[in-house]
Amino acid sequence: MLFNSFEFLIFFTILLLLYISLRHRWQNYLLLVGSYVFYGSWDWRFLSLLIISTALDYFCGLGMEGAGSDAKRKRYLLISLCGNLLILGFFKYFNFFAENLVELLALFNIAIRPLYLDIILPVGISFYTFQTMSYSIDVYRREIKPTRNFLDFALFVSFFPQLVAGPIERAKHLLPQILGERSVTLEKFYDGAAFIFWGLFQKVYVADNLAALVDPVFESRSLSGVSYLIAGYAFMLQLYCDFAGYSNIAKGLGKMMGFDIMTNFNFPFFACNVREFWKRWHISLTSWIRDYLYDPMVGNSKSKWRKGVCAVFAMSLIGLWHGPSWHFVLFGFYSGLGIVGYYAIRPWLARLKSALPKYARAIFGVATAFLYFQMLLFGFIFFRAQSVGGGFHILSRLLQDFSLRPEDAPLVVNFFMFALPLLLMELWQYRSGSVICYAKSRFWIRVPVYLVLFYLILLFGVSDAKAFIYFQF
Amino acid sequence: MPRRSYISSFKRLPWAVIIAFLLMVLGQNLAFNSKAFWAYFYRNSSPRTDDAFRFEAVARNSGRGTGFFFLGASQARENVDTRMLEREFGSEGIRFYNLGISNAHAMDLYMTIDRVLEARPTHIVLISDLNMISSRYMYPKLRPYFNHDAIPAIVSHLGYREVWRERTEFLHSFLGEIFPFYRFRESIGRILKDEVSILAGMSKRKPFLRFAYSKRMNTFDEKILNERLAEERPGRGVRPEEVSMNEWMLESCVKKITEMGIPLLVIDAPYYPGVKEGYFSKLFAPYHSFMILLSEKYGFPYFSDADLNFLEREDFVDHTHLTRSGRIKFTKFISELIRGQKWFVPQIGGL
Repeated sequence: MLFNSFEFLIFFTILLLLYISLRHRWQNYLLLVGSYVFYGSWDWRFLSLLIISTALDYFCGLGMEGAGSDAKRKRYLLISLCGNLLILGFFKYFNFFAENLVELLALFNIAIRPLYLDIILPVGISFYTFQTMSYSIDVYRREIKPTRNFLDFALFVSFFPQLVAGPIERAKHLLPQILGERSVTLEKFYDGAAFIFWGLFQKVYVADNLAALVDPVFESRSLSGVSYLIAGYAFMLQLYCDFAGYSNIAKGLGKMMGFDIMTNFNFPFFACNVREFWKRWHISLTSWIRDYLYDPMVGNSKSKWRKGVCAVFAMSLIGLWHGPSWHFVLFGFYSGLGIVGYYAIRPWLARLKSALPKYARAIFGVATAFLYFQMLLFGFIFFRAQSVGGGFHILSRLLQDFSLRPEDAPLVVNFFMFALPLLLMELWQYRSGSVICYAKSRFWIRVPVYLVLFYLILLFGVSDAKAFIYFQF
Repeated sequence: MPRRSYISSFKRLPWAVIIAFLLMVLGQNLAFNSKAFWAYFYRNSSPRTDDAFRFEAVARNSGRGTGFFFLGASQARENVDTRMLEREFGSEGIRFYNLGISNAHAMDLYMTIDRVLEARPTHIVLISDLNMISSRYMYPKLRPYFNHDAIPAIVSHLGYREVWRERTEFLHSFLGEIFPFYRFRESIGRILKDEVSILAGMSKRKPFLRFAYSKRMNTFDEKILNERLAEERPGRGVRPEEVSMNEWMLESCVKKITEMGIPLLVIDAPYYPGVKEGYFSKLFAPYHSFMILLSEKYGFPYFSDADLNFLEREDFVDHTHLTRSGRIKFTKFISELIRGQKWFVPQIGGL
């Protein structure tokens, strides 16, 4: 059941109508049933995994609270982490590790029969596994108290707006909202609708149309450099709008029901450097990795080397999180190197910026954002490529035959047709600091903006519900 | 107690959204009722890709009560040269409009017949085809031609399950009934994109094509066709109840046309001689029987493909579309029917 489908519209309308007529406790039961129906609509068999993961962390959480010693607490944490990682590792990475093990042993002339399992990846497994692990770690760190009500905890794990593609919520943020009374107001309803509308625009107008432009280029192996360049830019925007669109819809759905779901994207393409970019892109994952992996690895160390190695390692893991393939790892590794490189030149950049006159600083900011956008392109080419070799092939094509051919015209026109409205809206949103600024503007501005957006969706929006890219992760 | 939003508190309506929505609906209707809109988009449309849009444009701008309408599938569009007919009959004030659409099916005809009759044609020529009846309906095609009158017919013949199975297409089609732009969004969107490209100096305006031109020469490979036909499943995956529905729909159209007193002529689409032998002969026999029964019941002249034996193998570009020379022969055959006033004489079979 996709957010951009009629089925979901009917599902959510019924659910919302029931929701606003119930009291808090029954609202939670309704949401739990609704979430399981939503998840079961993908594949009901995987509901069992969701329930196992829920039960594991629920009992480990209670176990940690009741444990008499830190060693016992640690044991419960390990059970939780190992259990979750085993499920994730088996369903998502088994074939990847088995394949690489065979290749590694082959280097030492040890031949073993490759074991390949025909496993279906349960939708959203990476998201809810990370969410439940964060709960266990927070309980272990005594940052939150474990939840005693199993059904409330089950709702925390399975809350349908963010179940299959995030944001990866933290227990300390979402659980109190589940446990406490929520208010559903008209303002929240309208704000939620504005988030949903913008998310849908990002998905059906920008992302799905750019996908139709990107896919043939990346599948072809002999186009001009300009084609690959435009397709590369288009892919970055496609991926962003696909995922940010989903996150905005999730946030909007939550808002309509009185929840505050965390912001997952904060205008990442306006970032002037790699550090800022990763603070704005997929915030829920990067902050998870920072809080639960990078910070504990670095500890109190002041060593730049240690920080650098940890950053590269953490970013590579972020790459691997996206999928069991080396090209994702390379994407993460490249981003990690970018962070290290940025920290190396940061003092020099700061000196340069301070030496500039005031008016030139703004230009400097725009120039660095533009330059960084180009650097991102190389990373995202590996993200989109089907393999490491494929990524290098596209990179090599990108740097040759750099002439605009007449057959590139539709590509250029389509790119600007779908990217330009996004860019204009994003500029407005970025300056006002709110995704839904368009819904808060003056009446005479709102009407034409809505009118244009309506027409763009009506005429060019991809009407056949297409799955979100991040479902596969 | 938590603060709740009861229906009674929904007082502040989102007026900007409502007004924008109304303006959107109004804008579409204004555009659809303006001649400039249709003239511009028709000029920039292309046969095959914009069939549905061109069908609507021609039906709207035909001028009432003045012309011959050609209905049917791509064979109507590509095998009939309306310019040739206009050269011959134009001085007599007769106009010819080609409304052939790709893969036209009895369901398409059923959904669009009211639209055609609204334009008050003086005569209708249906270039009928076996596939109108003996093939499965492709539901993605539903959106641009949709008329909700088809639903009861589908339900009564194929059951509710058919509509449920294709619910997404039906829902989109309903949207197309509310928002006219949505119905023709593929064509309008493509033409607007092309315009942007032209304005940006990145491409040139394409010449206007009245219908899809066939190739001059026969490049048809009989062997390839036979291989393809050999792969066809017996019965072509069409259920008997589907065939029955298609026949009912075609008959309903014929009934509506004859009830309005509009002379109707039905000519089979030409088929490559080799095709009618072997596999296809099994399909043609019941189709011909049905068409003959229909022509007897409603008293319209029907010319089966057997009457088109003046077409030779060289006149085909594929199993059912003609070369330029084939098109001239076929059009001449129609013009003789008109000229000889044989049009109004109910007859079955040849001239």
